[in-house]
Amino acid sequence: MDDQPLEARLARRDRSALEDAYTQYGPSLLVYLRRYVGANEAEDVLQRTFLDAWRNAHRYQQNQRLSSWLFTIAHHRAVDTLRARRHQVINVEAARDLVGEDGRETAERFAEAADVRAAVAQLPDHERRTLELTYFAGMTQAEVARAMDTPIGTVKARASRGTRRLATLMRAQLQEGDSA
Amino acid sequence: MSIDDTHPDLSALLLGNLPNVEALDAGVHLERCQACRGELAELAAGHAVLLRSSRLLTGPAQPEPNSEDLPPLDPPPRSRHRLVALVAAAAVAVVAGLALVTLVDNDSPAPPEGDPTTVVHTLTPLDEPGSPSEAQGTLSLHTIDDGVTQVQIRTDDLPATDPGEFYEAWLLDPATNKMLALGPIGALDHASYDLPQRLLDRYSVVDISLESDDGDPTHSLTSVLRGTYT
Repeated sequence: MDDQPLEARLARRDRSALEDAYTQYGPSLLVYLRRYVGANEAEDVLQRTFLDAWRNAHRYQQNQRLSSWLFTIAHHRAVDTLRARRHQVINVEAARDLVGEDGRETAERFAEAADVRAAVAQLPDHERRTLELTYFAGMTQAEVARAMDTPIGTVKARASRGTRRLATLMRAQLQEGDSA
Repeated sequence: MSIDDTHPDLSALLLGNLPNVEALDAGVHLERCQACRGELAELAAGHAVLLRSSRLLTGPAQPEPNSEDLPPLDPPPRSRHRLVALVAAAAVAVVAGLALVTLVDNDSPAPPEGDPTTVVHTLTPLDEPGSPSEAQGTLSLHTIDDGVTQVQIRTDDLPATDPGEFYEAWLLDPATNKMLALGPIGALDHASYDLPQRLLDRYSVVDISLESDDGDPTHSLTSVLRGTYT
């Protein structure tokens, strides 16, 4: 396993970096793409997004957030896909939300959300699972306790520790990004 | 409910999991407990980013996918420098550099002559009023490696575009009308795209359309050439 940051490995066109980026950001990108191009085409557009990322990896600036860069590419590919719809009814609200300045802002909000998911994935397993069930599966702490077969007091402690650790981790990553 | 008998459960407070009475009591407690205020400040930032992220990435209609739900990542094409080096070595030995020129020059879309990994199809005008009947083209699919296929498109005798117009290539599945934009056809009437074979397999036709550079996010509805590759 290469100890260099994902951004640095991608910039030097390390194939494993592309796979790591796919694992880390693919699920959030898929949510974004499903919203605009629909579930039927989202996976294809996701593949195009990562192909474009690979082809343009040499242009990636490491001081740019990787999530922002990937979501910008996905945004362009989603617009292309809507353009290609010849006989299908386009969701006007989705199209309006995707193009222009609003579209770029939406992509940036998704990029930030993806950064949070990526940071959650770096937490210790028990804290990660607790926060995933609580925030992303919508469970109450009592439901999390049952799902994890764990006393509720332990769930509360893990949620508390995980939430604080997440904030610390994200602050550190932001500072690293600022100094890159 | 609280973690211990003294301090309120601040995580439950932030998550909205406390009954009204306990939430209001927690507010009173926070007014006089500096330690809890400090802890709340630490928790609030993490809670806020988690809540914002989850609101965007999850919804009632679809659960959030995880990495196990993703399709396998289609392999990217190998480095063009590496490809060129490999082809160069073969070309020097076999045809004294002729094929090398073809592949090194990215602007030259001609597929390698007689290469068993290259399949050529024709692009023909659509049988529709206004279609440029004299136009034609070729569509060459050249297997590179790692499941990557180079799609080379050459068009001939397409009418010159007016200012603000351009030709664009798409993949099309006629059964579902599903389309995927590949990109514009350049001024020299040809273009080349490296695509995962798995992606190519999900479509069967290449469509060339005339587009206006008007910011319209929909297809122009003007297809000028098409070719079936499967």
